[in-house]
Amino acid sequence: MTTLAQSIEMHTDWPARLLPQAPKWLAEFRADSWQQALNQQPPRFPKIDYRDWPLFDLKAIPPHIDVPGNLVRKAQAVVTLGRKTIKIDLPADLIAQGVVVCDLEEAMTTRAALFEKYFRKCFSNKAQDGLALWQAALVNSGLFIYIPKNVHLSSALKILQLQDSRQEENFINLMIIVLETGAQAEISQEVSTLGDCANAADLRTVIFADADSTLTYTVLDTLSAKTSAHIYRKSQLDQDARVQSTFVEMNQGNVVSEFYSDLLGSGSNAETKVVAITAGKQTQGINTKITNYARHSVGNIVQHGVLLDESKLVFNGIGRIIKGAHAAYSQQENRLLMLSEFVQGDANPILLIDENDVIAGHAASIGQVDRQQLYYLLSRGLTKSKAQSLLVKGFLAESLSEISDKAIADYAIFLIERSLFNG
Amino acid sequence: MDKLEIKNLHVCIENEETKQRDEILKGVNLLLRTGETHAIMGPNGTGKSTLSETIMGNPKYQVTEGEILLNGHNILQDSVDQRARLGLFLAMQYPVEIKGITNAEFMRAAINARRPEKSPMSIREFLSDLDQNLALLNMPESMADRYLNEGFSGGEKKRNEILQLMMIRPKFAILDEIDSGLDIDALKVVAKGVNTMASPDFGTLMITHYQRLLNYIHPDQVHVMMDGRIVKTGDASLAEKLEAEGYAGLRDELGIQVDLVDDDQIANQGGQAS
Repeated sequence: MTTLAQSIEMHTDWPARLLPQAPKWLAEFRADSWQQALNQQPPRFPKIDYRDWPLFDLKAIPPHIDVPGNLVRKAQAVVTLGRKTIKIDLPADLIAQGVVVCDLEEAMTTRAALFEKYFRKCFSNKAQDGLALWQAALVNSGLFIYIPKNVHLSSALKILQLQDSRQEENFINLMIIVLETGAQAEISQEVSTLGDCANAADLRTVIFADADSTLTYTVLDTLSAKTSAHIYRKSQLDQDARVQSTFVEMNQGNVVSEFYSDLLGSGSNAETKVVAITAGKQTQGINTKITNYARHSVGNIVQHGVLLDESKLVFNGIGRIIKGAHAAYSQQENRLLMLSEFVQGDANPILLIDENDVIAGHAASIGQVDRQQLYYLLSRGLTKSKAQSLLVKGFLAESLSEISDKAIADYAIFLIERSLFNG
Repeated sequence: MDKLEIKNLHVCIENEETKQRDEILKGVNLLLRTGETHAIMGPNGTGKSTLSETIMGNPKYQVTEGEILLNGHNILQDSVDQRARLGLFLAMQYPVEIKGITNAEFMRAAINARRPEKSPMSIREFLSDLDQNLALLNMPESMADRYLNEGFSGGEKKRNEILQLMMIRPKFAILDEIDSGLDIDALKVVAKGVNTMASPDFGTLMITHYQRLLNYIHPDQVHVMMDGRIVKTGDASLAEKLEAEGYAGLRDELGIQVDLVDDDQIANQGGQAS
C-alpha cells in the first residue's frame, strides 16, 4: 500500500503518462494538481477509516487488450470498458438538437472550449483535498454529456461503465453532465467490474444543473470484491433546478463515497437517495451532504442500508444551511437494518444550520428484523430466508420503488436476494 | 381425514415486568378433525390466545409439558414455518403491518412456499384465484397491491386474514377472535369466507368471546376454557346457554375457584394472555 504523498514522489510524470494526448492547458492543470496534492491529505470522514486501503497504488500502464464482442450488444446506449469507449449510440434527433455525449478524449479535441470550461469548474474549489487533486491530475477516462438549453431527452440515457480488471490498471474516471437552462434528462448508469485483478477505482461525476433544468440520475454500482474505490458525485443546482439522484451501492469491496449537492440557486431542489448493502468483511462508508446556499432551496436525503455477515456500513448524512438561505428546507433519514450480530453499522445525522427561519430535521434508526413481522411471515409458511429477503425488500422499497429505470431496479432486487440467500 | 390432537398441554409465558414465568395453560386436551368446526369460548385471561399462538409456535410461549400432534407427529420441535407448511394456519388477532411488501406478493410467496421450487403457481392461476376471493370478501382489487396490512382498518385486517386463509387453503385454521372489532355486515362477510372453506379436508378452531359469531359459523363442538383448562364441552346450545347465563354461572356450577379478569386488567397486560 502506498500513501498519496509516496505515490506522487514515486510517479512524478504520471499525469502526462496517463493522458499523453491532453492539450497543453490540461497537461499543465494536471501537473499543477499533482504538485499541490503533495501538500494535501485525503479528507477525513466521521467513522470511516480508509487510510489502509490501496487507493493510491499506481500500476504500470498496460496496453489495451481485446474487447469482448458481447459488450457491443449491451442494451445501454453508451458502453465503456476501462479507458476504452466501446460504443456511443445517440439518436440522430438528439445530435441534431445539439446534445453531446462523448468520451473525454473526443471532448478535448472536438468540443475544446466547452470541455475546458466545465473541466476547470469541476476542480475549481480553492481548498482542494487530496482526493480531488489526485483525480484532477490522473483522470484517464470518462464521459462528457451536454444537454443544451430547453432540450428534453424523451427517453433515458443509459450508460454502462466497466472497470477493466482483466489486468492491473488504474480506473480514474470522470463524468461531466451539463444541463443548460430548462433542459430535462434522465440518466441511468451502471458501474461494474470485468475481471479478477485487484485494482483501485476512482469515480467522479460532476453535474451542472442550470436554472429550471431537471435531472433524474440513477446509478447502480457493483464494483468487485477486489476493487477498492473512492466514489465522488456532486451536483450544483442553479435557480429552480431539480436533481433527483438514487445511488444503489452494491459493491463487494471497500468503498468510500461522497455524494454532494450544492443548492446554489433559490428554489432549487435536490433529493439524494442511497440504498446500500454490505456483506462479507467489506466496508462501505457513505457521506451524503446537501448544502443549502440559497433561499427556498429544498434538500432531502434518504439512506437505507442492510448489513450482512461481518461487514461495516456507515451513513453520514449532512444537512448544511448557509447564512442567508432563508426558508430553506433540509430533511434527512438514515436507516440501517442489521442481519447479523457481527456487523458494525453507523447512522450519523449531522445538521449544520446557520440561518433561523428554516425547516430542518432528521430521523435515524439502527435495528434488526422486527420479530413480530418475521413471525407473521413465518406463520404463513415462508422459510426464514425468504421471509428475511421480503422484509429487506420491504425496508428498501421506498427507495427502490421510485427508480424509473426498471432494469436497474429489478437487477438491484435480484442482487439483494442473491446476497441474502448466499448468507 | 387429518387429526390435530392436543394432549395435556402446559404453557408458560415470561412476565416482562417481574421476569417470572406464569403458567397460562394448565393441561389442555383437545381433538380436532378435518371436516369439523370447533369453538373455544371463555372469559378474558383464560389462555385462549395462548393456546392458538402455542399451536402455531410463537416463540414467546414455552411448552413445559404435553404435546401437540398433527396426524400423530409431534410438532413441538417444528419451527413456525414448518408447522405452517404442514397445514396449520393462524388468523391473528392483531395482524402486523409490513411496509414495502404488497399483499399479492406476500400471498404468492406463501403459496409457493408450499409447492416444489421448480413449479410455482402460475401468475394467471394466482390472479384468477385472488380475484374470486377478493370479490367474495367484498374487498376492492386494489387491496392486493397495497402494502401488507399497512394503513388497513381493523375490519380490513380481519378480512385480509381470511383472504390469506382462502388463498393458502390449510388443513386446519385457527381463527383468533376473528369477530373482534367487526360490525354485523363485516362479520357476515368474514363468516361467508370461512364457510366457503368448509370441506372434509378442512378443520376450523374458532376462538371467541361471543356467541354472535357462532350464528354465522356453526360449530360442531363448543369448548369452554377457564383458568388454563377446557372445563366443559358441548354442542352449539352450550354457547347459547353461556350467552344467557354468563361465565360466572358456569364457574359456580362447576365449582371452579377463579377470579374472572375484567377487560381493564387485560388491557394493562397488552392482551397477551387473553
